[in-house]
Amino acid sequence: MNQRSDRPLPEILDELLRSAATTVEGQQTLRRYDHTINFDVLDGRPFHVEILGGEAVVEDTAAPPRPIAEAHNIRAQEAAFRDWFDGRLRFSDAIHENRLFPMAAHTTKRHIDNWIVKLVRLGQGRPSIRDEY
Amino acid sequence: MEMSPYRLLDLLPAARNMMDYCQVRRDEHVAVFADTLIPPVVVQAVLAAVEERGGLPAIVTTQPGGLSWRQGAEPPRAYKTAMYGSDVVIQLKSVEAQTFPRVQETAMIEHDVRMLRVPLGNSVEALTEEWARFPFEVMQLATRKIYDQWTDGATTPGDVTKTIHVQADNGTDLTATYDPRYVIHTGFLLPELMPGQWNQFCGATVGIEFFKDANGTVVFDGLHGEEEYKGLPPIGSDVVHPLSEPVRWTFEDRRCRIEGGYEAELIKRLIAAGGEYADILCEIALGVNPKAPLATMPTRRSGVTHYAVGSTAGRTPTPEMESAPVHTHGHLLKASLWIDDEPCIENGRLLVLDDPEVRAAAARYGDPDEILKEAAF
Repeated sequence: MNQRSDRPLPEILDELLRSAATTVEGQQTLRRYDHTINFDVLDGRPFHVEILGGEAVVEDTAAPPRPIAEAHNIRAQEAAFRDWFDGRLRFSDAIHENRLFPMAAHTTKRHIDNWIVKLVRLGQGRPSIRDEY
Repeated sequence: MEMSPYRLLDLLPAARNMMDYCQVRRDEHVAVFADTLIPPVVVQAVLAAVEERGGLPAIVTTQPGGLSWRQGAEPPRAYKTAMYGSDVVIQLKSVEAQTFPRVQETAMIEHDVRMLRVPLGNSVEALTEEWARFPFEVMQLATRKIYDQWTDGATTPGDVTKTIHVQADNGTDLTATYDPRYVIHTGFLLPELMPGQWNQFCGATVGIEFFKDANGTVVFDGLHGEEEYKGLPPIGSDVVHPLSEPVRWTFEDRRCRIEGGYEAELIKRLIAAGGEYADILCEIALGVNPKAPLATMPTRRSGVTHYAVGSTAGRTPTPEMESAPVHTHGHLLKASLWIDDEPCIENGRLLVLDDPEVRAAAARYGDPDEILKEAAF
């Protein structure tokens, strides 16, 4: 996983989502919502992913403004995004440690947080706690 | 142990309605977390309702009340394992306070958990009342419409500012500007509760938890949501109503000055211990259920607005880092509220309850006039 560290974040996310899409669960999860997620990198370039009809397109630019019911914005330093994508940091821990800021209140986009977290985890090939039972 | 005068059959309608609120499905693992002050008959009713839906229930018994969200303790591993390993978590609670919020957030974000919180206050009686049968479909639709009004025109990314104005005959006149990305809705955004979301049983709220500015005064009819309030009349309840004299919060550039009787002095002490950001306006919210009992659930009652100072650290983290270890509430029973000059509450009436689509949804469950009429205070 460390080999990912120097690669651009949009490239890493694109690879994770492509990897997730190779599994049935990943395909089902991708189809769960149509949503745009902007990654607001405080010390770097923004990037975003648009997921429509189960197809994910990652772009290395800021997302165009969208109604907030259809879009989400996650703000963090590059290192926090990198640690999350590389599997060294849980998204929920990053929130509580003030390293990552979903720009929505505590329930408004938690289903979207859960969604992208699950897609990243599936892309990483990591099991869920439920797979251990 | 105090015996409950209620039988299983008295409680089953509410327990079945809980299944609608969290949409338990066949073969789903359902953990029912119940604190030791919850009468066993309530737990039995919930287990029966889960089994009716084909779910696989297990019970976790916890300490009552205890750790609110502003305390950072870790629960036992068994608690976490049960929470993380379940599809649905139903929390039966004797007080309305988040317990172990970090664990709950982790369960929902990392482990796909859906969560239903059922605060019962000091009374099982509430579960036998009309508010506990309020249909999920109607609650969800009304709540979504309020959310859409409060976020109308906002985009992300974006930097839209909206204005909320509250006015009441008791001297309340407060105007605040907010970032609509921080409008909250307790999990009623979609017609189905999704992994990562939680609902409050029969008790949607819509609110804002991050403000750019606030000026004016709010005058409270009651307080709620603090362990320390249990020492005030009525003793043992975290809902303080009526007050010995009105509590006034006057805001200038979001900072609050507190005036009133001994209740106000208690709030001042809580805030004094809360650091630099403890006196900042951090919440304006409203309830949606027209039948919610004021004695135990004032924040859930339609037309009632509630307010907090401090921060929502751990719930609404912001890059501005305005964290404070307090989140101190008061509520106002009857006000008018506007979003960008568009009315939302008129003299205590939550206008969405008169919306034709909401009435049509209510008509599928009975007489919409009855379902959407506020119970008397």
